[in-house]
Order: sequence, then C-alpha cells, then structure tokens
Amino acid sequence: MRDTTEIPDVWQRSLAHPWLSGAEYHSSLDSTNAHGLRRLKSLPESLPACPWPYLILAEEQESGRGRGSHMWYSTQGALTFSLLWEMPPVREGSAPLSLLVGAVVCEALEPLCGCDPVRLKWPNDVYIRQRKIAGILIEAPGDPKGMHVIGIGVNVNNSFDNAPQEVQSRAISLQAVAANACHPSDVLSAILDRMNDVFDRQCFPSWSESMPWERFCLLRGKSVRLQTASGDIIGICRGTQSNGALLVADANQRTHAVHSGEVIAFDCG
Amino acid sequence: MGAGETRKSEEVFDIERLRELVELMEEHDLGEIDLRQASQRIRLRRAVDAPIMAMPPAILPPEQSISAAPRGQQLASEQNTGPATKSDNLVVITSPMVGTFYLRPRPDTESFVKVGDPIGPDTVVCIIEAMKVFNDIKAEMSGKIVAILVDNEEAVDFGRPLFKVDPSL
Repeated sequence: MRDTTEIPDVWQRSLAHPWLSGAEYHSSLDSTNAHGLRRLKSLPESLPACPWPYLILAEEQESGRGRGSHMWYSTQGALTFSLLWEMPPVREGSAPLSLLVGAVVCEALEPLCGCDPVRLKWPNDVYIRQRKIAGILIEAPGDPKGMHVIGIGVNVNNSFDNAPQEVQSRAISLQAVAANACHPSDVLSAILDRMNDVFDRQCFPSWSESMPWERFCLLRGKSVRLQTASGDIIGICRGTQSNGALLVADANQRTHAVHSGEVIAFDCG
Repeated sequence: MGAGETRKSEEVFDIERLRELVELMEEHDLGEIDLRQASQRIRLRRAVDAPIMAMPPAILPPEQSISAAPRGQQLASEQNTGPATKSDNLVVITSPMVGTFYLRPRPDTESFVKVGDPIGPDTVVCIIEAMKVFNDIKAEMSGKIVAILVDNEEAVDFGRPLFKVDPSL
C-alpha cells in the first residue's frame, strides 16, 4: 500500500512513526473506518504477512461512524484516524480491545490535559470534565487473518459552536483544557508513542497492570443507567472484570456483568 | 487411588460420566446441564414431561440435545438413535462470543441474510457487538438459511445457536 495523497508537512513526522508499517493521508473522507474496511476488501489474499499496523488519516470526516446509527460529529481541528491491524480473533475471556485502546488514548492525553483527570467511560469513550473528548469504534470484518479496523476520534482544536445542541452540551475539545496549544498531529504522535510502548505489532499488550483501563474508569462508584439488549439496568458501577465486562450492582445487590450495552445516564457528581 | 481412577477423574466428558449425568438429570428431573473444563464444553438438554414455561422459538428443540461449542455444529448427532428426519442434516451457526446480535449492518439497511438465502463460507450472516467491538460473523459453511433463531439486537451468550442451515442445498 502506498500513500495516494501528498502529506502536508505538519503530518509528516507522525505518519512516519516507527510503530506504523504504513500510512495514508486524506484531506477528507466519508469515514476512516469505512475507508479501512474498503481497503481490506480490496486486498489480495496473497498479501504478505504483517504490513500492519497501517494508519488512515482524514483531516475531515463527512460521515464518521459510531455505534449503530450514531454519527461522529467531526469538523476541522479534530483528529480522526483508523488503524488496520491484524490480531488474534476475539475469544471469550480475551483482553477487551476497546478498553485496552481506550487506556492507551487516556494515557496519551493525560500529559496534555493539564490538571484535569482523563477518564474512560465504559467501554469506548474518553471523558474530561464530564464531557466526551474522544471516542473509539472497532470493527472486525471477519477476516481469517484477524484484521481489525480501529477508529479513533479526538476533539483537539475543533469548535462545537455550530454543532447540534446535544453535541455542544456533551463534547469538549483538548484546546479547552490543554496546558499548551496542540496540533492534532501532536496528539496522534502521543497516541502512537503509547501504542508502541504497550503493544507489539501482533497486538499483545505488555502493560504491567493486568487491567490498565481500570484506573481510568469514569463510572466506578457512580449511579448508572445502562441500556442493554435484555433491558435497562440501574445501579451502582463496581468497576470492570478482567474480561472487560462492566459490573453494576442493582438495588437488590445483584451484580450484573455487562458485556454489551450503552450507559445512557450516570451520576456526574 | 489407582491409575484408572485418576484417568477417570481427569476426563469429565468421558462416556461413563455422561451416563451418570443423564441418570442424574432423570432422577432429579433436570432440563439442562452445562459443563465446562478448560476449552471443552458440553451441554445436555432433555425433554421434560410438562414444560414449565413456553420455550421461545430461538431455543433448539430438545432432541438436539448434546452440543459442544464450535461455531457450526451438527444437529442430532449419531447419539440420536431415532429415525433420521430432515432436521438431522441441519447444522447451526452459533455465537462465538457474548454480546448483542445485529442482523442488519445498520438500522436502516437490509438484513445480512434472510430465510432461504444461499450462503457460502465467507457470507457475513450477522454482527455481534461486545464492548463496542463490532464483529462480522461469517457462515464458515455453505448451504441455505432455514431459520434465524435470534431477534435483531437480542443479547446472546457464547455458543448460542443463531441460524439453522441446510448444508445439502
């Protein structure tokens, strides 16, 4: 794979990051994840092993994807990229990829955010000051080699002035909290540096902590309302299991281990 | 303890143990036993005289009683000594993980597959989402979809039957 667009100088260093096997730059795309999935479909079966991780960057996304019908609101100044990555198929009990990647993003943002704590809202949103600063969407297209498309969006210098009211009230940009001005390429470099520290190219994490996401858990000890396919669960969050399931103790002191669901409300106090 | 006893205690899923389990199920009127040991898993189900509650259509009928965990599993295996029926040849695609089952890639799009659709090993039949990782599930077999056993956006467990497939078509 080769870059198809000339890369602006400001992105040169981060896109040449040694952890990456390749990268491409787009001034605009529909969605970096959608583009990544198309890329994978067009690859020949005989592709040599391990040209991964491969990065797809777009300065603007026209229809960034989120869970189900959710969209990722993205304007200029945001960092939006996807990593194409081959890794072992997800198995029951394997490390939860979204939480691992979420912890990487938290650790990368931490030194950039001044005194504000960075938190991970289970399972894939990064929060500062109770507002969303980054999101992660991972898609596994069922490739026998175990390809994954890991989409990451970070609000860096983008403004929400023209965003829908719902977005304005829930989102925040790094520029609102950062100690020093950052370009999105600085944030990308920080994330790739941290990726390089904790993952080898086959995606085997090497954290000393067994559950590195746990220290960033936004919801621990908070009242939460969780929407699941089996119905809503209301209770107190007790953190997570090693397999990534969210633990919620309901009013009857029954603890639910939730693998799939949406936290639709939580106590911000 | 003799060597034979040691071997027996290590092999939870040997035929003697299965016989004992079946006897226990009958003695105590149990409808299902689900056992796991390391990577092995076996689930025994049996018909009971009077159902306590209606079985949802997504649950396999009781004659398909012994199942291990692989994705595509033969229904009514050779342990079934009754006459062969059409369903004897059906296989099921099971869930490889805990999560939420999506029959459509997006809410406003068509289903990946419908009853009657031909499928091949690379046909994506559904998505299962767990912790915001959206996993395309491929059929990994050829045949025709004869039943969809789970509703869209329903919660599924590991090994839950998702589709019935007739591999002879």
